Amino acid sequence: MRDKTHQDFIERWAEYVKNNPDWKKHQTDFINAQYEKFEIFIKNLAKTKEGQEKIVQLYKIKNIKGYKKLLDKL
Amino acid sequence: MIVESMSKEKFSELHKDLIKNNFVCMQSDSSEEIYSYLKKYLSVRYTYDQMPLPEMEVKFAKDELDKYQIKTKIKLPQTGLDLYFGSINMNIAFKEELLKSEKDMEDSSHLRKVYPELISEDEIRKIKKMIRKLRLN
Repeated sequence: MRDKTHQDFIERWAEYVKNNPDWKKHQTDFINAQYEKFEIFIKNLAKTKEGQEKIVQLYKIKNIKGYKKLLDKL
Repeated sequence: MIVESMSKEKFSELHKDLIKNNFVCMQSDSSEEIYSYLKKYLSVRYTYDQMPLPEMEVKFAKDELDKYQIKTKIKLPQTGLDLYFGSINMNIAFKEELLKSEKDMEDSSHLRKVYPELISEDEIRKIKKMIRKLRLN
């Protein structure tokens, strides 16, 4: 699944971290973007009762009342 | 990102369009050189706007399984992304049959819970058979 270019990427990133003090900003932006996408996904999933039930199952939420805003259909 | 194999000329157009839209190929600036990687079924990586992350890995479809992934691609509106993804069945099959790490198995379980309406066990079995034939032998 992972060919030589994956190893190349790891080495490139390691070099970048060593030589660029702003590396953390790029990593933070990247990780934040993933959280943003996750938030969009969860909000879309929560638009229906079935979606909210899936959220409860996925994250093993027992305290449904604690998530009144997200799980308003349950 | 798996794409259908294409001619050098068509790839050159694609590469120029990517460059015009601020992507950079990490392997080379030369579309000929990049194409030579792709024709050997090696992947190349593009990044956007001079950023080191994220990388977009691109490769040509090399066999029946890759072509089937392209054929069965889907959009997932709940993600808010207007992009094609590999089908849910495909993702599950790869995670359970080829990758198999603890995280992959958790991811597969997650997909089964989020998208039960999109899952076909027959289809997953079919893909797993292709994986065994084309990736594990």
